[in-house]
Amino acid sequence: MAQALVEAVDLCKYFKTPKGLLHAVENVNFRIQEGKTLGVVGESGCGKSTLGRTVLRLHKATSGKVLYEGKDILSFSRSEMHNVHRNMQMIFQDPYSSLDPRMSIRALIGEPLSGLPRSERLSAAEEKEKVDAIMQMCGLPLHYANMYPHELDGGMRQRVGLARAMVLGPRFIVCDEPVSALDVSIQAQILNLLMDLQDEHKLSYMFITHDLAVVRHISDDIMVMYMGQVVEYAPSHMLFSSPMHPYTVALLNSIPTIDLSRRGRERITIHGEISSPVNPAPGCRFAPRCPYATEECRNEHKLVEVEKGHFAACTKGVK
Amino acid sequence: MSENLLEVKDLHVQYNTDDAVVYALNGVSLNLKEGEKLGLVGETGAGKTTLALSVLRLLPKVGQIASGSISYKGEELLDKPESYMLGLRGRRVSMIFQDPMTSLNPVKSVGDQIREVLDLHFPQLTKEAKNEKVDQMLQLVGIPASRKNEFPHQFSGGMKQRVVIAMALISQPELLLADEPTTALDVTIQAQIMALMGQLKDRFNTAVLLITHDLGLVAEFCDTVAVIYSGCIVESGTVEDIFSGKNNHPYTKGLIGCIPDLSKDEDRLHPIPGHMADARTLPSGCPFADRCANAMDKCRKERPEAFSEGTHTVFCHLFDNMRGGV
Repeated sequence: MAQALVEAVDLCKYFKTPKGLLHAVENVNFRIQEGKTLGVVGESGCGKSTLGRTVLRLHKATSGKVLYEGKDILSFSRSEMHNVHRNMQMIFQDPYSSLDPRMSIRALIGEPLSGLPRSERLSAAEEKEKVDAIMQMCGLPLHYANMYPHELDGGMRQRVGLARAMVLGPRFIVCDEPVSALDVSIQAQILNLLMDLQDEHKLSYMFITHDLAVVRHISDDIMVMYMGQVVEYAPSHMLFSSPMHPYTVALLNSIPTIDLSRRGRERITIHGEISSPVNPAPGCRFAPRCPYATEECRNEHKLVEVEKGHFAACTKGVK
Repeated sequence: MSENLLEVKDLHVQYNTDDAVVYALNGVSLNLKEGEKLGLVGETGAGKTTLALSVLRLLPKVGQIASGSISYKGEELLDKPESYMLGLRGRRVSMIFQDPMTSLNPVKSVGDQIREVLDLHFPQLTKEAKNEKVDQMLQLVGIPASRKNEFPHQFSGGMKQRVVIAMALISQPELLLADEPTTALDVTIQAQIMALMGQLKDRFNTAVLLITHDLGLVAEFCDTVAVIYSGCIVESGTVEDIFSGKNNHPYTKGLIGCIPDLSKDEDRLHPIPGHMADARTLPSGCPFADRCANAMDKCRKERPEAFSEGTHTVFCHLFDNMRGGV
């Protein structure tokens, strides 16, 4: 298999809390090839954002490896990491709070350029040119350059966030819920833009979201997380046509659709709520809510390759 | 057919801010029958919440109902004194606010907060009777009654929303205004909450006005739909009318086109170009004209008349020819 651009091997992230160890991300493995998108889906608190941040070393991983072009970046020094971060960027969820309200749009987009090494520093004219080009690429009209974030609506602000990530010419972007704060009509514009940029620049994305419809649309592979564990990992079309894990099945079933023929469908609603990931019991963490749970679910939780490329920790969801 | 519980006619609401007058609602008309579930769909800033607040007369100080009428069971609410509204709010008409995290009092136990409704509206009940009702209500929304002495921060988001629903329903209102009740929640919890609201509706025959931007939720939960854009209703009808894909308003069509389809692999989405018009200027013609692919000269000049076909009503000049002399 071709070398993956970004790869995680048994990545774990625990947080120390007064009540004990919080298992936010547990033994996560994935590979993202160049120009591909990995979708990470799960409900709030399942560890998907923590995973995204750990991959970029914004959180210090507890154990495991993150490989960028085959090299373990978790062992990199500060200056080596500085170089890697030019290629690995992030877009944040909230376009309202992730932009400094006192910086103009031009200054915001140009800010990452000031971190370049001295030899590559741009002159003021070059920087202006670069920012203009990036703004155009991200669909931001140039007259916005001297405006401030509060003058822009959510969709435009998210474009600014994207422009900031794009200005250094990255190869990999972690998109943490980039469209969930936006209205549907604006959401579609941003998703199209992300896909266009991917085609043009062969970008790889890790796309974190709780919205399954969005993730299906944009992803090549999808990883479903529940309380820090990966419960299912498969190519997008396989996951949607033949979900196996009971949690994936329930999740797919819970999405309201405008398809009236599905209106009266039998609902598999799962009861209860996510329990606490602090000092969790061994075995499947979905078991307390799972309609098919048995004694053996307390055993080890392991992903098994059920069919080619389709990994699931449990196949009880198959009808 | 049962009678209209709530009738909103040609309602105009504006916010008189320091800078400018913002026209939030521009002639909204809406009917809701007893026991009906109406979905009010629209984007941020379309005026959905303003409409709900107008019904309860809870608009902020800068808000002003400029003209129109809101009648509830045949009584004109806009002429009633505040004392009348106090008896209505929380007793006959309840509202569920969008954000369960901020609509509860953090220093009062949830049981006390639910009982507050009874203290206000049913002072004749004994303490025991009230407590019993609170326990029943909590159980009904799926919270063990033993947790009633706990405080909001000890509950998760979904549980808090249940508490808010319990508060809204304990007085068995005739009308429930639910403003984005599940937006802050995960899909599996959303499914639980919507199933619960459905059951409660069946039990108490409460009419529901569901305010949301989620078309899927409306298609699954509601009987009728009204689509609101820039403070105007652009289309209304039964769920079947709207989602069968025939004779939709271009805006509704656009909204439906924006949703990634779960059952199909499609490469690109079809966003609606442009942005919602600035609410500080009143549109002279159709509010959607500037973003509409089929806009004609007429659309920018005249407000479209209603085109009705049975239960389905569309406000769009494209249907002028089909009106056929009516």
